[in-house]
Formats: sequence, C-alpha cells, structure tokens
Amino acid sequence: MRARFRYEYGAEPLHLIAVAASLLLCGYALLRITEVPGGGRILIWLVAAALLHDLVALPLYSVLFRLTHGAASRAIPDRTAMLTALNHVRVPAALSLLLLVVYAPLILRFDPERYEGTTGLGVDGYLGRWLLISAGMFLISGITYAVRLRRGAARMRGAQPVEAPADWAERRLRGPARAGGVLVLALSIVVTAWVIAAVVVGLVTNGL
Amino acid sequence: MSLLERLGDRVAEADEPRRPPSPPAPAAGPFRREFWRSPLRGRWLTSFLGSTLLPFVIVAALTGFLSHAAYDPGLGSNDVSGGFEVDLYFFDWPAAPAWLYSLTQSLHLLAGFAAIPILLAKLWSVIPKLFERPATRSVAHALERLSLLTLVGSALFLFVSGVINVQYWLPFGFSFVPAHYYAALIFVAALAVHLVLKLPVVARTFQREGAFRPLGEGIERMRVADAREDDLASPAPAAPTISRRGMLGAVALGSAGLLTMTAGSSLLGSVRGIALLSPRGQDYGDGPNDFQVNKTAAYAGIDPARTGGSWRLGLTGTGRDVSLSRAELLAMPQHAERLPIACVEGWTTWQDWEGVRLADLAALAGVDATSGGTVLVDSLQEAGAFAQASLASNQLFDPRSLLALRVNGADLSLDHGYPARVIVPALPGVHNTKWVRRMTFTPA
Repeated sequence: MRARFRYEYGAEPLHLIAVAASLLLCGYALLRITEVPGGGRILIWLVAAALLHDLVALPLYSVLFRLTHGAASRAIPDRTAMLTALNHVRVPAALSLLLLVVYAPLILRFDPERYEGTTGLGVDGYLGRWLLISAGMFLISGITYAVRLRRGAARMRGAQPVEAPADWAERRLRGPARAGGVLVLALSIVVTAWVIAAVVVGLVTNGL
Repeated sequence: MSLLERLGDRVAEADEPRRPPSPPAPAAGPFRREFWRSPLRGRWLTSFLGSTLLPFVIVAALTGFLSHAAYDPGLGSNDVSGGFEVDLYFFDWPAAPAWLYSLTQSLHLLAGFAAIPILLAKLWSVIPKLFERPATRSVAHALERLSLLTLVGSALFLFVSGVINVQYWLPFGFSFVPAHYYAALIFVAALAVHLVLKLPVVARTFQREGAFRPLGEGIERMRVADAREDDLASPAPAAPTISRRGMLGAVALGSAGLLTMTAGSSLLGSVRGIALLSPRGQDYGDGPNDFQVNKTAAYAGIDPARTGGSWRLGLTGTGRDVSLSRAELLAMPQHAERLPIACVEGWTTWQDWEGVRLADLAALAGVDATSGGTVLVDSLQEAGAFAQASLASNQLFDPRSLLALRVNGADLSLDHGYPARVIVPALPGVHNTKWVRRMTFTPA
C-alpha cells in the first residue's frame, strides 16, 4: 500500500501531509489577501518578486561579475595575481551595489516629497554618503591589496636565488602597476554603469 | 538513527522515476546543468547559508508577529490587517518594561536587514534548481516546487516591502500592513515545510562534509562537489575565482554593514551617526522638540487653527461628558515620565514627557482602575489608519501612561502633537495618538 502510494505520488505520505498543510495555509492567506484593498496587486507582486529576482536581477549581476572577470583575465595573464586584483575590486563593488539596491529609494530619491513631508527631514545627503561609503570601501580594499602585494613581493624576494635579483625587481614593478590599471578601469566601468542605471531608474520612476 | 535521519527517510522523495524514463529532451541554455559553472555551488554552501539565514529569519518572524500583537488588533479599530479570523494571541501586550516594543521592533529590523545578503547568496546558490529538467518528476516534486515558489516569492516580497516601507516609497498601490502580514503568513507556512524537507539534507551534508571544514579551504585547495552525488554542484565546474570562505566573508561584510546602519537608528539611539544610509539617520537639532517625527502636522492635514485657544479635549465615559481646555489640563496634577517612542519602522527615541495621567482622565469620565476599561483616542487628524487608536486596560491604567502636554521642559511642538498627545510605555509609536481631541472610555 505504502509502496503503491510512493510509486504514484513520488514520496512518502508524510511529504504529502506536510506540503498539503503548508499550501492550504498559503491558500487561506491568499484568500484573505484578495479581500484587502489592492489585494490583486499584492498577489501579482508576490509572484513578480520571485520572477524579477530569478530571471532579471540574478542574471544581471552574474553577467556583470563575468564581465569583470573577463576584463581582468585579459589584462593580467598571471591567474593568481589576476584573482587577487579582481576580488579586491569585486568585493567592494558588490557591497556598494548591495547598499545602493537596499537604500535605493533614499539614495536615488524615488519619492522625496513623501519622505520630507512625513519625517520633516530631507533626502539630501544620501547619494553623497553612499558615494563616500563606496569610496571608503574601495580605499580600504586598495590599501589591503597594496599590503598583500608588498608581502607577496617580500616572500618572492626571499625565495629567489641571489643571482637573479633582476627578475623579482622587474615583477615587483610591473605587477602592481598593471593591477592598479585594472583596478581603476574596472572601477570606472562599474561606476559608469551605476550612474547610467541610476539615471534610468530615476527617470522611469519619476515619469511613472 | 537520529531523529533527523528518520525524518529524512519519511519525507525523502522516491529515487526511482515514476514512469519508465522517456528519452531526455535536448536541453538548452540554463536548462542544461552544464550551463551553471560555479565551482562554489553544492549542498554544503547552500546548507551553510541556510543554517546561517535561519536564526535571522526566526527572529524577524517572531518579532514581526509580536509587533502585530503589540497593536492589540482585537481592540476597537486597531486591526489594520483586514481582519484575521483566528486570534493567535493569548496574552495582552504588556505596558512594562517600557523598552519592550523598542527591543522587539529593533530586532525585527536588525534581523531583517542583516538577512538580506544571506538570502541573496542562498538564492544564488540554488538557482540551477529553478531550471532543472524534467520540470516535474512526480506529483510530489510538482507540489514541492509550488511550495518553493510561495517560499521564494513571499520571502522576497517581505524583504522588499519592508525595506521600501521604512524609506517611504510605496508605489505599488496596496497598503503595507496587510501585505506584509499575509505575506509573512505564507512565508512561515512555506518555510515550515521547507525545513521539514531540507533539515535532514542539511544534517546529512554536515555529517559528510563537516559543518565548518570547507571554510578551511583556500582557493588553491578548494574541493569541488561531485555533481553525480550533489544536485546543486556543477557537472562542468569552471576554475574558482574566489574561495567559498571568501564569498561567505563578503556576505558577512554586507550583513554587518546593514546591521550597523540599522542599529544606528534603533538600538543605539545616541550614536545615530552610524545610520549613514538608514532612514531618519539625520539630526533634527538640539531643541527640546528636536527629535524624530513620525508624521508632520502638515502631512497629517492638521489645521493649526483648530489647535489654538478654541481646542477642547472631550471625555466621554459612563457619566456626563467632560470638556477640558489646555489650561484646565495644565491645572490638573502633572506627572513626568521618561518614555520612548518606538516606531514600527525600527527607530526609537527616549524623551522626558510631562502631562496628565490617563487614569486621572478616565476617573473624570467615571471609569476607574478598580473596574478597568478601555479607551478610544481620536485625533484631530481626519484621515489615515492611525487617526484613532484604542488602548487596553493595562495600558490605560498604567501610572506612567500620560496625556502629554509638554516635552523636555517645553510645550509640545505642533509636529509632536500640540496641544496634547498620548504617551504609553511599550506601545507601538503610532498608537501614541497626537493632536488628541476626544477620548471615549468604555468600562470593562
């Protein structure tokens, strides 16, 4: 009997009981949602939230990350050096993007009149503070990157035979300079993309 | 056999396919498992992120439902959720300690904001499952995927609606409270079944791979999960560009940053400066009335003319109706209390209030503490969900509950509710009605 159920349903009876109880409670909540004002829109956004995240936001930031990876790979042939540089750009960029997304209504001024009218405070300063925080994160990342490069160079110096000093001297000069160039390039690409995105979002939301 | 393992056996989906397998349809793009190439993905990463996310989500859910209880939805017109037929609350929201609502609601915001990066990372770690083929293997699988849609949809909806609500951007044409409340109900229902189905998998994964062992692997020595055994792993992994611990570290930094900024406007009211991007992080100034305003008088549509000399407080109770001017209220015994305004949006501000005890006003209207009773407070504000609020007996007769006339040694400003406002310990801020014009007492 149980094997038969398992065959027809695809899992044990407890699975069905748990999932059915959950879906029935969801059904109740959905029913109540249809009764509150604007309930239809709530239902739409419940599904749209999942779709927008899974099919738009996630692919978008994946592509963004892949692009930075590709650019860094072309600029720095040595993989270890490339990854160090890349992650010192990617991590602060991701954190900065996270803050922008979370606090977008204030940073990008989606509805300043409402915020000012309600709280008696202005939305001025949010964009500036976000830029300052982002700059600070890139600065900290850059400093730790420089420290790591110096340590790496020092280690390399210890490991090199005495008769080949020119090699490490050359590397030490070329490595940071190149990586710094990539850092600046990637940073400006990211910032430019965000400014464009901010303007587009601002125009769209103000137009609607 | 542990309890979790037995549970795992009970709920696990049958391995054998229900029908004889049909020839696999040629999959393309993201529907091919090889499309997903990150070597970080695998059951361990998802299990670790899920286990980290769970405490935050539990705190946010519990404090969220506590907040609903703090609004006393069973009382008067307090319920703004559209009416929940089953009363889940078997207790009256207490009026002590005064910081209670500040604590629960701060925790709600802190846990919620800190969970955002973890949730995003966890969703990233399972994205290949969205495109798995065949789309449904069995009835069980189909129902489970439907349940996952409700889980992901409600979770994202909860976070987005909460985050934009505290920033006063509500473009979607529905009111926040019922939307957030019913989405939470869906979320809890879907999360419960998700835990029943997945906790055994998490336990097995941690037993096999160690709960923390993969954290020790740097990018050079990082093991890639075997895609034949691990349905979240990539069958064609690319070379890693960051270690798992590197990625988790970035997620932790994101959580810590959001936590700090949220804390600035809530728990650590005196160092609000760190709330660099949180709403209400800015200063109002140094004056006695320079602290957070939930809604300005202008926004609430208060006509200043109606707050002047002609203003009267109407009291209705069991006896005759009473009408008091502000001078008459100031002539009554005055009491001073240091009490917080703790907003549902997560900020708290403690101030020194002076005014008349609500209990004294109740006595004037013929309702006293021995019999107990409730009060409906009406504001000069004409529209809006919080133009009136009801207080329970324990709140009405708490000796610290005041009809405040002054704050920090000065008259209330118009934005803070001049001529008179309610201030009650441990009450959600918005129920401390401003610009009070009438109080209707009902004996128990």
